[in-house]
Amino acid sequence: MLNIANLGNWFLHLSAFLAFYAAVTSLLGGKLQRKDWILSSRNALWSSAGFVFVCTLLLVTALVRGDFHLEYVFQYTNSTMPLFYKVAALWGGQNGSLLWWLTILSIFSSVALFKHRKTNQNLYPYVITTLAVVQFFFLVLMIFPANPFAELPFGMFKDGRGLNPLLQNYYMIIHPPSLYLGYVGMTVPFAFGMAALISGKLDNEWIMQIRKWTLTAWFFLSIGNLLGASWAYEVLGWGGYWAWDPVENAAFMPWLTASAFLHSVIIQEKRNMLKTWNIILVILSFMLTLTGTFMTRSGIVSSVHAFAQSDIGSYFFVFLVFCLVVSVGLLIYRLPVLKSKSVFDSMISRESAFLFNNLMLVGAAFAILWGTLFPVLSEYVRGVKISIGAPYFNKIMIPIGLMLLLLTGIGPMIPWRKATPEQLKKNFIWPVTMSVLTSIFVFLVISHKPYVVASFSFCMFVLCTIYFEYSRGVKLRMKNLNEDPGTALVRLVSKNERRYGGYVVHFGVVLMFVGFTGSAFKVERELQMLPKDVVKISDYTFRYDEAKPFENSHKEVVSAHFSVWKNGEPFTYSSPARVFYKSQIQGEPAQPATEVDIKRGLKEDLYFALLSFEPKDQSIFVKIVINPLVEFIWIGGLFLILGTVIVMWPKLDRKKKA
Amino acid sequence: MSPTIFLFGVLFCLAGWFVFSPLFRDSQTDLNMILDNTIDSQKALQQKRSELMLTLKELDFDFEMGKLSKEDYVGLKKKFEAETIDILRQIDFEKSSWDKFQKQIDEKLGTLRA
Repeated sequence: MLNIANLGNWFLHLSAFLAFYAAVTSLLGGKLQRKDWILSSRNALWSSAGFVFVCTLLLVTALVRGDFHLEYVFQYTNSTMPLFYKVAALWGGQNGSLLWWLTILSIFSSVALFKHRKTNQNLYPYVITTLAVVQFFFLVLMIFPANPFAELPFGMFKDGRGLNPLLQNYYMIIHPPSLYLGYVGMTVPFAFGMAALISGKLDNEWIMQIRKWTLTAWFFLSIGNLLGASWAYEVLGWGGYWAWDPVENAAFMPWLTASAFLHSVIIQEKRNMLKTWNIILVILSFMLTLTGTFMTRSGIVSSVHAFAQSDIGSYFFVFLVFCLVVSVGLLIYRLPVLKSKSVFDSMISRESAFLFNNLMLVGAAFAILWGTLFPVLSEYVRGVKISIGAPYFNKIMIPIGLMLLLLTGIGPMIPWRKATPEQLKKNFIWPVTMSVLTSIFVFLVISHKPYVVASFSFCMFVLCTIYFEYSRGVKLRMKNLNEDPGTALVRLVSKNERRYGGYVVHFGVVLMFVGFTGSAFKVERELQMLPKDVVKISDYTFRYDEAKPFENSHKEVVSAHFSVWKNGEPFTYSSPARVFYKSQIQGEPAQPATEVDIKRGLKEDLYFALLSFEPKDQSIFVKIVINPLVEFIWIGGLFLILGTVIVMWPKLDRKKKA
Repeated sequence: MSPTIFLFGVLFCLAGWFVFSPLFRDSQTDLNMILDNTIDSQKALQQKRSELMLTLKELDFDFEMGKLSKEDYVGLKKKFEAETIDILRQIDFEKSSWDKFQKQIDEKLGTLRA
């Protein structure tokens, strides 16, 4: 029988050696123009990736088989867990998730090296170098402080501890992989950016190569963040979807900088400007993915997501500093080449709007970084940990978010270089009129809160600009090419999927802002109730009917049953529950979890979370939340994904013609 | 020999062959890099040409949609057309240099064979 621990460790060492060899040989091969060395280094990185993949297969085999002599298997699985959770346990703990990270990196590296094997030969060797260095770092982590194949020092247990109950959820199958795909995907653009800096080939070529890679990473980060928000909403039981938790922030920051890059890259392509800025954004996005991982893995921040305090923090810190020094050093060295000859013709132009959008996005990322790291820094400097919560982030992010929303509408409507007053009037008269009318309506009918008025008004403004962009385009095609409206719309999008797919993304963002604004009207109550107690909140009347406990070999469950009336009419029933997952290790306490019940609606969600239950008198402590417009966030998210798919859609027709 | 050591040994040897085999292939020299770079630069020029053509189309579309003033439209169109002509010239130049280079190689090979 195969000894998985030994085999896994040997493959990790071999893989690390191959990554190191690939890094050194590719760098030398590039400098000395030796194609044989470059090919050898490429094959070494592919082999290293192959061995990482084998290591992952070995660990999955151990998790499924229940090899409880491996510490990781013992900590994160047990015999009662369903098969898919045993597989998902691969990313449920520190060491396994790092291996999973490395596996995704290996896949990305291999695909990138395969895809670009016949193009970009000037950049290719240094792309290998960068990817190999990152891969080598993660392999060092695997071998030393975070070894997933480490064995328990005191023999084999009959069963394991099992996965944290909060993680035993279908989101566990899809949320971490999509988030990791987003995180790790940022390595490929970074590798191309570094290759451009090392080789000095800093024209627009590298930018064109990485746009789709960045978009792919951004796509997965978007999905990951949305799934994370949805998971928090459905599972954590606090009634919200985003808590500005350090780990949520860690995933949001690179999303912001990547969003900035996806906009600013257009300026480099169209106007040959912002070359330095684009390199900075690529470096920043990658560094933020590393920083996020460092924060999650080192245990320096407190979070429901964070892994326990461990040694890997110091490794990450050293690697972060190394990457920062090398990339900033190269950037400074190449600054004379990066200087752009083009200048901004006017402050009122599309490039200026994109630049403002970039400054807002990067500013938002830094504000979040500051808020996330401030407790750690204050503890380090003053010895006192000052926690920064949601109020700080909301105070900073609401105005920034509203400005970004406004720019989402302004940017596409103004021309490149310079806008004349006549054009501005022509393009903005209707969106501004509709926006003003909306703000008057919201102020008079819905709310006097300035942010609410501004948000709905800006949402209307952006919706109008999107509508005009589509309608003008369709009308033009109908007039010039004699097409019917349907054909004109389809061809309009398919001929310029980047622009019109982008508008679909913007539409999704507008819907999400509608959902965010709904939180201003959120009603939340935490109540202690006895059976048959009745409580009225807004238009709803809630009656706690009874609590029903039941038990099986795996868990104990208590569910509380409610009857709900809306405006005096019977509306729905609800049954939130409290679950206690039994440990398979004798003497260890059961782990509690909440099963919330959400009655979804486009206007508002009714959200029930059972916080505690007293068997003596059947009293319960329950949280009831009325969450207006929250569904718009998920619908907006779907449009955001749809728009990105349109943008990424392969241009088959054009390729065939070519 | 245990299956663990056997499996590791087999994969180790395969990887060794895969990694080091390029070093033992003949004439993987600077010439290949030069050829690759030439092909690379041709592809990059073609890509730039396609992008510029697309930009010109977008420019026309933006003008027809009323987003650009006539003055800016004419200015930008001239600029992008000049860039396109420059790229087309470069493509022609590289193609003729490449053809000349290939002809020289063929002549050299012919002489050697004779």
